[in-house]
Amino acid sequence: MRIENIRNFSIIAHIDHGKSTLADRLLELTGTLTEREKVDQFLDKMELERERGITIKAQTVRMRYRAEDGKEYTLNLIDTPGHVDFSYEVSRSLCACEGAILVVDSSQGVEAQTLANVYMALDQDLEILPVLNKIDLPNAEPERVRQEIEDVIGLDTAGILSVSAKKGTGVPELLERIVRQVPPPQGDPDAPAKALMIDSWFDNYVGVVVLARVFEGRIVPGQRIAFMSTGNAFEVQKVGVFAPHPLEVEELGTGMVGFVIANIKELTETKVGDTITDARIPAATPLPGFKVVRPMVFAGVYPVASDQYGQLRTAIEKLRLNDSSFTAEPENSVALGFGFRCGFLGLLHMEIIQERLEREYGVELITTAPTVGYRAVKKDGGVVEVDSPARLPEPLELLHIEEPMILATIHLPTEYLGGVLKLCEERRGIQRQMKFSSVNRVILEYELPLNEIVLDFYDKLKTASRGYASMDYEFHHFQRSDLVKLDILLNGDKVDALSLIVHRDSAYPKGREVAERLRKLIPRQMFEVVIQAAIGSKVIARESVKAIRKNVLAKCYGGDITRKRKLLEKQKEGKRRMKQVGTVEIPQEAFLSILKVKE
Amino acid sequence: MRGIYVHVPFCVRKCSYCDFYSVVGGEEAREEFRALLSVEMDLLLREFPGEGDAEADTVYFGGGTPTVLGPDRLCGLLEEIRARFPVAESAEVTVEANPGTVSGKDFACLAAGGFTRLSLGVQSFQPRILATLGRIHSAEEILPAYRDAREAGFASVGIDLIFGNPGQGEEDWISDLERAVTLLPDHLSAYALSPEPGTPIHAAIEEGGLALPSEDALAGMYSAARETLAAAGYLHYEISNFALPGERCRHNMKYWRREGYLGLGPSAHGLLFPPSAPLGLRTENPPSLRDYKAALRSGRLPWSEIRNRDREDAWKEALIFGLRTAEGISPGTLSEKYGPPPEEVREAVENLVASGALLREADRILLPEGYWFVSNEILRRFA
Repeated sequence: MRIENIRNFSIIAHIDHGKSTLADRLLELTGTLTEREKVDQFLDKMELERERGITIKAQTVRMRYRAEDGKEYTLNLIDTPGHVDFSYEVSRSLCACEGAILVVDSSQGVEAQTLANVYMALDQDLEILPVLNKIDLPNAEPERVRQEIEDVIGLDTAGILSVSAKKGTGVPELLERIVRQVPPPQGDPDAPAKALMIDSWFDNYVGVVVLARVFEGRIVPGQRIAFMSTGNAFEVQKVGVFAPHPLEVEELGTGMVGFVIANIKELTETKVGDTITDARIPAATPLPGFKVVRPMVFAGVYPVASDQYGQLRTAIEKLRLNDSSFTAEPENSVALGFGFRCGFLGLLHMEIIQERLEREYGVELITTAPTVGYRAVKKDGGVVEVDSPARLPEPLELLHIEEPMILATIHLPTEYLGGVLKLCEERRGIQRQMKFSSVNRVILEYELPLNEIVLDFYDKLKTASRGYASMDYEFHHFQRSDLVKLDILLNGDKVDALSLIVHRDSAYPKGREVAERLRKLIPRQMFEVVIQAAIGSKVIARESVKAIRKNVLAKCYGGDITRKRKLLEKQKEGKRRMKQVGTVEIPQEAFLSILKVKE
Repeated sequence: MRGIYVHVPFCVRKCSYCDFYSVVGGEEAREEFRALLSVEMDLLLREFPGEGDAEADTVYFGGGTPTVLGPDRLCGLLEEIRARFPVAESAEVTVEANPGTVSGKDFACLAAGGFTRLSLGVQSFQPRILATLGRIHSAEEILPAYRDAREAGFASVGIDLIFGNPGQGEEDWISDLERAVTLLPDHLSAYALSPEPGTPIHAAIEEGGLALPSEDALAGMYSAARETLAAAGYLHYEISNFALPGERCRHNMKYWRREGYLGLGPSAHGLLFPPSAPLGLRTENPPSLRDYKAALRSGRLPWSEIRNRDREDAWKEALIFGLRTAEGISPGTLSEKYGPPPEEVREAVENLVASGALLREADRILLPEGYWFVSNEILRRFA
């Protein structure tokens, strides 16, 4: 394929604006997908992705398209995730493209992630093709939304394409526009190979599979390639594309996107964002690569049954092979035994990892309340990264604590401004900017402590705006803050896994709330359970769970011992999902749900 | 020494809380049942000849309502048993009866026929509660029935009561207890009502028509029973059972002590110690006259389930049931019988003793009486 006939593009959109549906239509129209293979959200391969209706991992697919000019084109669609937790995946995908289709829901308009994605695309100098989607909906307002795209994003919307991805309307025109407007890749096919590693994953049969975009030269089987940052070299065994199923090809030429299999045994030998070159004739300089992704949220992950620790360790190791964006370090808790302190990109990411560990590896988990990563500055000048309340230095050594701040961009209709401003203020937000993007749309910029938004801010935002507000955020800076450690004691014993770091102003209400929630969660036991919330040695809230009064099998009739024993076995099974802390049995939900606001 | 239990699966009518197996059955079915029991005993002896050698010191006719069979048939059945299994001269031979279904003459016949102990299903002295429970007798019939039983000459008469009934308050319950005590029964069972799925009372509670007393109220009633009966001289010898000194139900003690008993009749359970299962073979007859009959007619023992117990089962059962009694268990004796305890069991016992949930007294381990009403919290650790 001549380089002039290749088009590499992504589809970017706010969540639920119809990106995956549009991708489905493109696959169908180009005949990439046979009738038999059609399933909704074809590119979302993970079971979880389909269930949740979201895209987690980027996927690529090569399509062949005969355009109106009579020439055949290779269209490489590099799919991107929509959720803010995975925005780093978006930026990676965009690095491999020359163009991006910007899908905007013509009933919703420009949302926070629309803008965030556009900025990412502009950073990469991509040609942006705006498209109004869902024009078949009765409440579609294509003209208003077109104006918004012009006003808010500043894109030229003359001749903007209106489509219905669901019905397929306008999609043939879109294919023509891709061919005409997305520039073909640049690059010297005869230069030493230079390719960007977009992603990699582990396959049980072939080892590590690398997804790469070739910028110069080519990659062919038999070639010896090297990763420029590590210097590791491997011999290429196979190259191929996803069409959409893996299809071996003779070479990945300049401008192409595809997979490389090179007998790489360990995922750790590769680094996403690295530049691949020819080991014998290496390129002079590497490609720019990616920003390093850092986990934002941390939580303890423990097996319910302590004898499953080994299984959990194996599961985490395996899962990390395919998702290097979460971190895991062994951790030991008095209450929960041996487990891991894991770092995640956000709460959704955390839930997904947790679900995958349980579902794909069969380990039952207890996850502790998530916390953000703090920085503790000690009196001796030392700085400690605190990813767990347990790691906070002793008060005597501690000078102060710094917390991560984010810059949030919130888009919303003006009628909900009051409620959203109130929410941001309650969460210790500092307003940086407020601008009206149209008569009835406003864009807010707030600096907010990550701690305040990580759990339920998004839900609250949706409630305050009846679902109309959208938000995007990025890490901004660390800021000194008046934070304290809130401990929870059960019958006088501190339960390390229940400790929280909170702002001093909210410590009292939080302490009361947690104690009350635990009272509801902890079942009655043989003795009274006293729940206390404390800062240092000062108790700020107290609740108690009265002792159980009755749990007895009264009658044993006709020597029916078996039935009685079965009843006890059932009770025992019920208790197996509890964690014994000292003498108190705590249900596993307690460790996570103490922070949930919704019951 | 071992026991023999006979389940008589007939009732005049089913009570609203009962989930034991019973049918109304006609005269013909009752006569047939008597014949079937003999077949069952013969088959048992044929397959386990050793069982014919062990002497029984307790025989218990439960149900259902055994007296539905009539005194002649019951006495006849007892004869059939004695003809096949050695029964000690001093054996405790119990029959359950409900007030209002048995005449003074019937009681006399039973006593003369070898029954030594009567367990009277009183449940409550209050008409309102009897009605809720769907009992067929009235409150007025209790006293005459009790008197008749006494006059018939049973060595021991016991009364069963149920507490925690819908609409029952602590005062109602204390009044029941006091009235029971004035009769001077030798034995008193006080069961907390446990509405089992599938019973009318369970359905009524689920639908909200009836409401059970709160957990705290039930605990209060249980304490009231302990106090009232202790003051009247009764020993609290098992979670739900009280007796005057020397009047414990010897048959039921076999269940708690894990001693052997044959289980005859539909839905009856047994525990045998044949040479092939030295740590116990638990048998279970089907809860259906039809299945029971079909098995016997085809020459098979009617066992729908048999479980060969191993050392771990033996220990766990001994603890779960032995700890329900005031005498508790003796680890030394159990070790002699079953071998040393499995590590898991030993550890659990030690931990519970250390935390005070179990008491060590001389060579015995006991569940403190204060924990009896929450005993599952402790016993489940051995499940």
